[in-house]
Amino acid sequence: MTNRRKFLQTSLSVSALPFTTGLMKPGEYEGEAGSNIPVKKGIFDGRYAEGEAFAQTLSGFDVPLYELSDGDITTLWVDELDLLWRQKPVAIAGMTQFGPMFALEKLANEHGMQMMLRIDHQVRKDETIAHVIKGPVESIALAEKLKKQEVPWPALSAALLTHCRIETSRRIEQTVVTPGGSPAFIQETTNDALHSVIHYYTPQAIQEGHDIPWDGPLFSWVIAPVSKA
Amino acid sequence: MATLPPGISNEVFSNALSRFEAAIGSEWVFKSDEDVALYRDAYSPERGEPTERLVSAAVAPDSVEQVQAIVRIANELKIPLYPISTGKNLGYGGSAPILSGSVVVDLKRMNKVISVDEGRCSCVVEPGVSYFDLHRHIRERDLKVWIDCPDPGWGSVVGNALDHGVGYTYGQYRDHFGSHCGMEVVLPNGEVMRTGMAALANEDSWADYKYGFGPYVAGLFGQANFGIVTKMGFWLMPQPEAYRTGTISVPKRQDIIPLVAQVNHLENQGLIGQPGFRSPMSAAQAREPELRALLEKEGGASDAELDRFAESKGIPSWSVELKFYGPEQTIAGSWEYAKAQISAAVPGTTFEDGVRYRFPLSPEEEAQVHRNHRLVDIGVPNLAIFTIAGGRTAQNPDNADGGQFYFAPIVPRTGEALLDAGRKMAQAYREVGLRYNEYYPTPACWHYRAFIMISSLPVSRLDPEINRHSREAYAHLAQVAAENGWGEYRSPPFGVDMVMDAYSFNNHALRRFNETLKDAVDPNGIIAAGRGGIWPKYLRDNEEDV
Repeated sequence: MTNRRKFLQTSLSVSALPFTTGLMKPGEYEGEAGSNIPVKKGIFDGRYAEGEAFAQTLSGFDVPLYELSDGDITTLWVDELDLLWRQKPVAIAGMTQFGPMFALEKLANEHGMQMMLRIDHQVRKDETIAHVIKGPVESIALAEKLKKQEVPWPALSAALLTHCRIETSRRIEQTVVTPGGSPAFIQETTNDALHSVIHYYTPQAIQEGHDIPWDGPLFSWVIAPVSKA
Repeated sequence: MATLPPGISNEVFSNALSRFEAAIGSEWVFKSDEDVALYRDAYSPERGEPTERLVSAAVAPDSVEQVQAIVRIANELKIPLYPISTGKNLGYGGSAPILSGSVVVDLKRMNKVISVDEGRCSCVVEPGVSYFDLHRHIRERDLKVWIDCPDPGWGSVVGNALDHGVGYTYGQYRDHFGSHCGMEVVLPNGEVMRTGMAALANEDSWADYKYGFGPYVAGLFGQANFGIVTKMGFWLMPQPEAYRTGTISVPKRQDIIPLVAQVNHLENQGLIGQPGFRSPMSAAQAREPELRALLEKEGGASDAELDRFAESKGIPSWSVELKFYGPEQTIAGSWEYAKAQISAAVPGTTFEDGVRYRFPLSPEEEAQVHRNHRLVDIGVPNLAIFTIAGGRTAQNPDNADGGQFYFAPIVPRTGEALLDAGRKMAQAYREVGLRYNEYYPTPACWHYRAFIMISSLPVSRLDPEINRHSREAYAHLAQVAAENGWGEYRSPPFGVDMVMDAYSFNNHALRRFNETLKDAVDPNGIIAAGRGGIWPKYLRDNEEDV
């Protein structure tokens, strides 16, 4: 297993972050003051190099970070969000596998929150990634701008999530393609207990005796209270 | 545009919505496309197809009186209702109704923990209380009782029990419906009824004694549609002094027969919690190409060949993790007893001590345990299962949206039945182009004293072909199960009739009895049509509306 820090240093340059290159100044793309969803927590999966890069960009936008342990949202839910959302629903954003995104969305629905922006990062065979973006039309425009500036896609995603309009004239779905290979799953799952819990639900692969499917597609997303305007 | 209930005009439906709004407040009647979409079954194997079961609207009452009002309106206007608790029954329908066009009655706002009695180890809760909620309530008050929870733990204590859901700890506690004690129900005519000791004017014994007097009607409200449950009592497990685990491994494939017999005896005596059967040989397929080749060879592999391979590699054919709860001295003795009994019955048995905890755990111990142990075994709800909801598999390589539903037949609780089921299920799976763990099938023992041979079938939001194939596979597997006398213990919505068909003794006398009761109790058929394979008369007479 490669050294994680070395991998990040060689493959994903910090200097490519959109705000450091002057592509976006903090506060840029705000539109009118307060028109972007205020993201109160950024959740990422540190088992992926791209997750780390995403988190670096988020922190540059002053979003408090939360790294999932082995992709498990239990502690995040029990210790933070369940209590926080009982007081007041607030927006969260993240780059995770499908499961954490799905579970957080379902839990957020109970507090009047919905998915506002979702990006499916679909790896293609030609070393590109098709980012299927469902959200405000302004997010698509920003994605196109950052793509032209060749911002690496994890940083691009972070920029989109932190600049998602609260209200929009249109919500659309559009695909933006960037260079990129399959996300680098650089850290093995360490929690042995997960293996035996998941065994009960035996996805077909496990029934056949293959390993547990830890690796999966990545998604970037914003979940926020629904505007009552 | 709303999916209207069958046979209901726009005008009648609009009238119903207006009256619901007057009864519970317009902000709690959800009728916009955006709001209604939230009640789609996230794991529907019929997604995007004409048969997908869709909600027409949803209402969210916050009291029994509001539920009564909704039911009375629905009864008058013949609007089908579908109650959900937290709507998290993924793999078995989630928040969507079985009858498309039903109005979901979302009970999430009724979320009070009414009581927890530490001394009598019991509680009474409303439907909107999740396992996380109840666990937090108990922990905040430092009560020495445990819950038994499924994973994930976000579901409703009431809702899970009403679907005969299951858990992980000791004895009858993991049979969630079996451990309930007394309930309150809004009947289809809007009346409130209570069962067991809750039917007494003084309800102090609500969660003590299940049966009260006369017929035990509580069973009519599990996996059924005779009313809307608004409160349930449950027996809780006392916090044990200690907990320990131990794993027993046996060498040969046929050793499963005496192993199961011995483990059954331990469980029947009340000495162990949920047995965790595994097969190291099955798991070894992932890293042993020679074993895979052996298992896939023409004509199949013999026990002798498999046992030779297992011996050459030092891999046990089967293992079972035993869990012990109780006084430290007692469970130490039970573990020694288990080892002695099984080693006498199965030559070559090996043992391995597992974890040992004493309760209560210190904060440092708890942090460590929560990092390294299966939390459900000690009654702590979690969301760990979602760490693989989205992993790629051969059947769903894109798996962009995850999801599955379950085929969950119960087979007789013997080793012989396991081996027989493995062979026959493998054949049935082959016939639908899927693979199955033929030689080392292991049961899930969630239900007390039962073997559930659960497997999952993939669901996709992107590829309807995957869903079509999964549905067809389920239909075939359900048929094979019926032929072999294996009934499913739960069912996804599209499978309720297939599953109920299998319980066919005496020309489906059970279903006919259920229908007789249904027609008497709910003549307008407004509650949860199709639940438990029970359809109201107007839909039985007009099958094309189903």
